[in-house]
Amino acid sequence: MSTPLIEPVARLIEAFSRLPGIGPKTAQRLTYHLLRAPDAEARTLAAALVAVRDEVVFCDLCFNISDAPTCPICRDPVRDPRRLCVVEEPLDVLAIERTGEWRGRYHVLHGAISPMDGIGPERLRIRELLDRALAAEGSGEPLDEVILATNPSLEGDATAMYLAERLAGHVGSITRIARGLPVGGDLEYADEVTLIRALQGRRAVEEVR
Amino acid sequence: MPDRRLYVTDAIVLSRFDFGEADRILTLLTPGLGKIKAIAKGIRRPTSRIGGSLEPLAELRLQLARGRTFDVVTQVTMQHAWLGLRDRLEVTATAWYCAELVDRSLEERHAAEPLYLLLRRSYELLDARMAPGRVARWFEMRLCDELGVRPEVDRCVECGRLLEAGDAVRWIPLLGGVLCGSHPGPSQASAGLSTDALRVLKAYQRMDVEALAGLRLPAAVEVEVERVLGEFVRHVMERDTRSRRFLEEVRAGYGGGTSAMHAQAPAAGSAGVAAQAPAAGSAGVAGPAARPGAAS
Repeated sequence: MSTPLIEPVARLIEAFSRLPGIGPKTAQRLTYHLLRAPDAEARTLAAALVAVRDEVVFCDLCFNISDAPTCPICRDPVRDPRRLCVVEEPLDVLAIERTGEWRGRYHVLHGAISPMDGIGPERLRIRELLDRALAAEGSGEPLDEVILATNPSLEGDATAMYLAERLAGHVGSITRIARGLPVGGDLEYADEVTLIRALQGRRAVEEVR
Repeated sequence: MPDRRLYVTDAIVLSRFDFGEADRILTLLTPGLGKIKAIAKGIRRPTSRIGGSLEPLAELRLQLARGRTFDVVTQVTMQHAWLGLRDRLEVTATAWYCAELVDRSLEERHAAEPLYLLLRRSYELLDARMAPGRVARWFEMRLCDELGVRPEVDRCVECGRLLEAGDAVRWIPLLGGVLCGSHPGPSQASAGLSTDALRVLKAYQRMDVEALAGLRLPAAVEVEVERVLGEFVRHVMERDTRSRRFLEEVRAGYGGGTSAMHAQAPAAGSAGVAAQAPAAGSAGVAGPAARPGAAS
């Protein structure tokens, strides 16, 4: 007969196993690691968890994570407020920021349309994006460009199509991030859909330069 | 000696969700094994060699290794990409709807070749630009057929009397079809079914899809048929389908009616879909049944 877990341990295992990508075994390993770790390590983790809930909010404008009502990117006067890059998740903002290529602002949807998972447009920050575009239009300075940088998946593509339909006529231009082969990739091993999209999205050599 | 853990099957990805750092759990529809769950490892990394192929709305040939919890995808070959399903939101939403109906109709690991062929055919038709509403109605009717719950549209479900043209009937999904005026039906009985809508329902049961593609129907009849078949499917599934709500929202954005939805004719000859109207009386449907009113 197995020994029952004492209650605080069972509770922590249960809490860990609710996290994405963590199964029961990993939850047990994390729990026992914390039991063996120095007291300060566990308390630092606990404090960080509380702080992330208490101190981090979503930006009122773009819905990226922020430590103030307006995030540093939306506060930055150098960033072009008339060009928006629409992404699915806050982590996508980090990925694009790492490139240093984008000097406009963002709008974070917090997901993509996925009807089979019960995620319709009303569950995302789409209404807020449309309001943003309409407000800009109403002020006489409509958005110059909206880049739809959702993932190149079925859900990301559907979300981009949905947004393009709703934004059409209210913003200067609507663009979709390019799809194709990854840098360093090998054509021989590319899947058919990626290759088709790469061929469809080919550009004149002069344009690439 | 061949590895007995490995097997090869055709498959359509019905749905998937992210798992762990870069993996995905897939729900696959296969002809021989029915609905199965499999894991695709590392698929979310941009350098994944199989990531672009393992998407819904495509027919794949997969090599899988039997695993303890999930079978593991080891190789993918694209059979049909059907990229036309991804280029228009209404088409994508319809394809999602069909996939969800199949997903909800099946238990795991029960052979489902008829449903596999049905879903594949519906994707071919959508890819060939047949009106999404027509494909959806044809799919719903055929799905009910395959599940053994074909709606009764010829006889009264209560007395079995063969219905005649002009009979006042009501549509009662709970009882399995149409009810003649001689019976009260359940207390929450729904509204009457128009003669035109009844004829179109018969057409969906009897005509092949190529002929259905060429029908010209008034928008009001299309809307009524969509509603009553939707009620029937909801009754069969015992709940609403999530993707149907999205489909309705998308269609509202197209002008809110089926007339706009059916404005485009399928490309003649593509995927076997012809644009011609059926001959009067073909497949047991009289001319007026195929044309219950003025062309939309």
